Amino acid sequence: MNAALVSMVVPFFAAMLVLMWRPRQQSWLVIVASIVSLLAAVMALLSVIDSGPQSLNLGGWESPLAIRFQLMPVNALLIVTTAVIHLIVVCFAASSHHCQPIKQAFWPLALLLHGSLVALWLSMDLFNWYVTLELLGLAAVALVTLAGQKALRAALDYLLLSLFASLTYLLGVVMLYGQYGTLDIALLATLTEADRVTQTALLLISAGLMLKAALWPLHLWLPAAHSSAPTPVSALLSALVVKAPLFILWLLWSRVAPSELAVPMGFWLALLGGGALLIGGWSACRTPHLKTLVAYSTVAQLGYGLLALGLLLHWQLNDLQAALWLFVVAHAMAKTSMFLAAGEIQAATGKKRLNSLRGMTLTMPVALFAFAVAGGSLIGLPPSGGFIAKWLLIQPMLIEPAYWPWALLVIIATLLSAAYVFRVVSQGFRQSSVSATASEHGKSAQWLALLPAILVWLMALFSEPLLQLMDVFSA
Amino acid sequence: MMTDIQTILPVAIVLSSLIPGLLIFSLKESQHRLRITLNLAGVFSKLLLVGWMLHGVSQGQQFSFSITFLPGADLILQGDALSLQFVALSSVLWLATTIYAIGYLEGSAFRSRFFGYFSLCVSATVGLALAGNLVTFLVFYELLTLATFPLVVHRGTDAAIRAGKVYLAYTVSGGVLVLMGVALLHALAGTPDFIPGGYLSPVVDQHQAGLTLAFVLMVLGLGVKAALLPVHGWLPQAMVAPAPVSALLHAVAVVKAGAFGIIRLVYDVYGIETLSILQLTQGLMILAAATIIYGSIRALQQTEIKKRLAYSTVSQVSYITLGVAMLGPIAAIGALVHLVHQGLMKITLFFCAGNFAETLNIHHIREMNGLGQRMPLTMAAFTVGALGMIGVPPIAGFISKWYLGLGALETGQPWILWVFVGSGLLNAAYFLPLLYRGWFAKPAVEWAAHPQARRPASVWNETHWMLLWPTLFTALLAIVTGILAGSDFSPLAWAQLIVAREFAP
Amino acid sequence: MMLDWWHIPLIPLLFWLLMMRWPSVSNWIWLAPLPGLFLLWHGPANIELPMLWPGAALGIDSPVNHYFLLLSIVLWSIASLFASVKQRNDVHRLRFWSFWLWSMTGNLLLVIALDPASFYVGFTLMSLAAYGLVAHQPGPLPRQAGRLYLQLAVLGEMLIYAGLILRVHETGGLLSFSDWQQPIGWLTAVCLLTGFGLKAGFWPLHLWLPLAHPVAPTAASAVLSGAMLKAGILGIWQFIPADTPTTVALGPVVFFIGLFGAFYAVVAGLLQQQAKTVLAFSSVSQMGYLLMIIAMFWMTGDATSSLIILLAMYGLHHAVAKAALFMGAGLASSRRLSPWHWGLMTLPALALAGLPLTTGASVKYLFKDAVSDSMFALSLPLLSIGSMATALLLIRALLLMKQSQQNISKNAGAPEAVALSSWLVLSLAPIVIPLMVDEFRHQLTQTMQLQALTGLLWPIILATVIAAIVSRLSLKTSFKAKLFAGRWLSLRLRYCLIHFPVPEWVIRLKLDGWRKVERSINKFSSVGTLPITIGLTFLMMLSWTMLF
Repeated sequence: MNAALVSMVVPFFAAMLVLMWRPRQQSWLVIVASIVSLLAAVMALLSVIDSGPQSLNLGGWESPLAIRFQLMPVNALLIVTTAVIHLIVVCFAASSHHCQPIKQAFWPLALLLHGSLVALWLSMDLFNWYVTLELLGLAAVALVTLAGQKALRAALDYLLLSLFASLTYLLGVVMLYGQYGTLDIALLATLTEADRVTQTALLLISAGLMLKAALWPLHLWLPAAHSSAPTPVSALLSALVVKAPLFILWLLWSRVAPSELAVPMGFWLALLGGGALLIGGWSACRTPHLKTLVAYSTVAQLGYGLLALGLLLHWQLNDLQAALWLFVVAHAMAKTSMFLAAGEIQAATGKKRLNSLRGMTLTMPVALFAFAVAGGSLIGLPPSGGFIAKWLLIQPMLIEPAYWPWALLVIIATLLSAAYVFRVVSQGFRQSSVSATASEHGKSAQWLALLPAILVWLMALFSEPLLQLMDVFSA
Repeated sequence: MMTDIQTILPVAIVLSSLIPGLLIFSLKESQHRLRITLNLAGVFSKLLLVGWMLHGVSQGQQFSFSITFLPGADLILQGDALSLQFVALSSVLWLATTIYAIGYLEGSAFRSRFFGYFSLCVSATVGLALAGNLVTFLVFYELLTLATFPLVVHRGTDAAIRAGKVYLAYTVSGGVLVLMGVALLHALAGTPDFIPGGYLSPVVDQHQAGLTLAFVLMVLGLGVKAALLPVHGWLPQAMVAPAPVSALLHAVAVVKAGAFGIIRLVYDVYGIETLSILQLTQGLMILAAATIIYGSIRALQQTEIKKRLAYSTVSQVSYITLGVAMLGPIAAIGALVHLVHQGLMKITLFFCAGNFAETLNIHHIREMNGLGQRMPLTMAAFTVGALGMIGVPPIAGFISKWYLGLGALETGQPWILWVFVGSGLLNAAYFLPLLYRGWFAKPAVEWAAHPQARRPASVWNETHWMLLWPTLFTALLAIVTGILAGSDFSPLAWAQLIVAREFAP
Repeated sequence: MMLDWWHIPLIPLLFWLLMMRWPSVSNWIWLAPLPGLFLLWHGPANIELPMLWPGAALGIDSPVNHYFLLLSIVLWSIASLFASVKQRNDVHRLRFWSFWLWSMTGNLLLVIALDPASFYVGFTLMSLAAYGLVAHQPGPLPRQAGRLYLQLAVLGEMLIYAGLILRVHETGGLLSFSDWQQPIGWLTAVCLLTGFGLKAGFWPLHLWLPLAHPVAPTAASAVLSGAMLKAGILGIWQFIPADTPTTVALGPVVFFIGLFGAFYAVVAGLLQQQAKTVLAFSSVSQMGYLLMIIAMFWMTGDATSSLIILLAMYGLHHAVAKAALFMGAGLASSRRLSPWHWGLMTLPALALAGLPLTTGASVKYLFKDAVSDSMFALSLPLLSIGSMATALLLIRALLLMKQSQQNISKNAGAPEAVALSSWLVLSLAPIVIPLMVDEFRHQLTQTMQLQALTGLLWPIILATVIAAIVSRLSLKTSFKAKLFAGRWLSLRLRYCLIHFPVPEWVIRLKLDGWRKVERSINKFSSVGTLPITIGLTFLMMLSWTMLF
């Protein structure tokens, strides 16, 4: 537990340090802080594996009043993922020279984002989540604006919708508090009944969360915001930030909501997930811009999460939790890789359009390879993390013939994701008109972009311990 | 000590091409000597290891290696008689193709990329052959798709990219169907190791619909690579790839991966008993028969050499599927032996087509007039391949057709014999005109007057030796496997061994 | 080193390899088949070759393949000698000799094959390689003749394949001719009969024959007509068992097909304008007789029957005589021949017509004997008319040869010595063979009785008379349409196959129209991100609250 707290606090402190002290070698400080946070996260994960879920009441007060942090296998895993991705992104930002102009403001905001995310994973009550969500949202919007003038409109949309979402969320929280007098998840879980107020409250909260997570059809802000943001920011937003509301949504519906409400809701969530997969995938296949494609792919991939969550609720199948969270982790890794690679390529060519990728296998082989490898996981090609998650997701679908239409949905979604990934990759193999040679330029940034992609494929090799972790949790 | 080797050998066989492949990626274009050394080291070490394993398996040893992967489905590499048939084929042909490719690509760009992916492809093929359960098979099946794509689009022209996209559209869709089929079977019965006679008979009463759907999914998915009828469209398109790729991958590795998958599915997953309960093979038989005829007719209508060969592949690979679908031991021998024979003959034909294109820039059938005077050896190899495809004895193709035809009668499907007859006629109709042009027709320009095609001093110099020798080697193999079919080392003998083990009571 | 059966097909291949290295070896190719004679003499034990294709076994097990081996060896050897002169100045002589040797290999292998697979191997090799001989000469006619030949040969191959597989299945997987006595199915019998018939060239499967013979080089015509047609007959003999319900039922049909063909070919041949075409039709007619012998054997199935000897003798007789005539026709069209040449030329012709003291007399006598013993005794008178018809056709051929002498240039010399001597050997063979071979000699003494003599002679005399009258009248007819039928069919077939309508099965997405709609949607949603999203949120909330 303490390790987890360290992992949360270190980024906050580092952010403050960077802001107040303004040292000369900011990047080293940030990297060291990220490493420390990662180490702490790993220790937290190990301790969870060792001794099971732990909780901590801040300030020593008892339940209804206290701020309660809880460490479970799933959020331990999320903390580690967050720390890993943050570390990689930070290293990328430090080494990639086109991130130079935004660095000053990027470091503290990124650290703030990291800290608040870890706080969100650890929290177990609705108000805490509200606070951390707000922090996260503000940090995210601020990060998007770093891209300058061209991102302002997208950032503004993001900001306004985020505020609107916070309002609906808050409204729902207030209704729940009025009804039951507590905001702690564990307590609420024992109290809730399937009445009209609870239902409305839950729906309000869900709507807000879905907006924040850009779940289809409330995703319209995401492609603009994520594609116009600076590269490391895009990676952080797509990989981590949109997952936070999903986490809350999951706990809310699987713990708090009574099953009479959760079962029908699950069906709708799964349908929306399907819509996200199809529409998001289709849009990704059609967009002419590289980063927009990656952003739409996030919309589509979140559909998997929603589908897994929906079916988990609808069928009341706890096995799907493993699928859900492996999706989240695999997608986080893969998407980081994709955005970093795409950003690096876009920065090198100076063009947004997809056809600027001509001849990339020669000029930027590592970046393109990273994109392809990460894409493989998104498609769900074995043996990657994405494959394991998809495998776990489709297993229950296939047992009953009545569930087979869901599997059809997954097939189509997979094909769409293959289509957009290879749309990019095949461009890279096209002969370029100018005879370019491999540039030594930005080599380390390219390799950093490849790193998470490799990690996500390695996940497949460690699937057994990962699944055991999930089993411990669901048991 | 012996047990260690029995565990390591399957992995070593896969790694013997994977490691050189990965090393080659890191090489600079100019380090061609090192690249060739790595390639050849990989080739020969693989041949050595495969030879070792062949010996072991014929002695009845078990080779198996496994690591944990999915719940209830480990990654397993194992060597049994069936997998070795395919492994030996790909390793031997890899040798020929590597030498051919070195000659073919001499001086062109992107060679490190090419050979890297080429080795990856072979690793994936070998891994797929050695796969010990469906999930492992799936892993390598998908890897094969990925590793082949860069080779299809290698030239980077617009046509190549378009073909590459078509290729991916088909193979990835097929891959997804296979994935679904594997997952469905896993959901219904878990994923135990492949076992002769299949493992699904205990659940067949319970999950009739599920097993049927899984079979249809898998056959459709594998059918993409095996170029079965409605989903064969990628193969002719993929012919834009360089000749060694067309030769090894599209004529042998990739299409055989599909056919091999169907063999595994029918014999070692479902088993003959289960399939006859489910009555699924009649449809597969009709599909394969239709593909045989359709591919032949389409081949007849092509005017490009490689396209014609591609449709011929579509037709010929379905012989294997058809033989498997008949569910009889003799037909099985035919199918298994055709797996090898078709590979030998088709790779020869593609090598020849590559030689024509590379030496004299000949791509169309109408340009082949009088080729026999200028390139007699290549033309002779081409003749062997073409006649073998028709089923002319004593070339290898005849042996397969013999067993397939007998198998058709044995399993009570006499109509299939007429499919072979019709296909033989059509094969003759599309191959013999090429031979006529090559040997009898008058060249449009005398070779002596041809600007880039001055007749060489010696017959053996008709083209680069690295292009010529692999061609002759495979052509010779195609003849020898046919003539010496009855010997103990022939593919036929090995196929009989497999069938004896698969159909053992 | 002792010679063994398996050396026979290998020796021509060895010659081929040597020739590819040293082209002058082609002068010595006539030696290639000769080792077979030694084996015929010594008759080593039959051998099995388990290393090869399933069931491979080689050897000699009946008079039929004994004589057929003899005739193949003789013909190939002499024709090679003949060709070595004729092809000396050919530009493509290496190609010619390659196909020649391959075809020889196949022919020798099939004759000594004791199992169906080996027979099929040899047969296919011979059949396909012979294409190279038919289409050897440049020009459209050989090409067309070659195409038709090849189409029918491949069709025959495939029918044989089907028949072979069906037969192996019927016999329960047995792979030796000597074990093939089980009843044969109708389909199997028809497949095999048609498949081999396409090579044997009896009516109505003779389409390619009159086209191919005139355009092929002379030596090739000689072996085609002499040896390769016999291979087809040998195939029918070996593959289809006698005295089974099917063959007994099929016998009369086949007999009358043979009989009709024997006459039909004469009529068709009489209308031809080219000596070699006429000779080709004569072959078609003679094949009819061989077919009749087989049909009669099917009805009895007696292993000791004289029909077996008859088939063997008839094969040998026709092979040497027809080959001699073809070579003669070849010489007549290129060299100036003296009267004694012409005298020599008529000898094989008369032998074919059944002149006493020749092989023809022996086989005609035996043949009549056999027919009168069989159920077809009523057709006996027809046979005499048949002999006359044969004689008439051969006179026509000789007259046409004589005519062709007018077309050759004045300065064409006498025939080359080697060619002449090889031709001489073959032409004299119809008289020499009866002196050397017991079976013929035995019959010959019987034909010397008066009744037999008149029976043999009157058709020839009558034919001469008719020929004399007709040539006075100088009837000019042309019957080319028949010949073109085959050519037309083969072209038509090719056209149909190339233009056979099959769908392409390519799925194409047409997204151009969709693009516009998409753009407007994109524009709309990017401008109105805020209102749309907020609206959708409310809508979702509302619908959920209502739905639950």
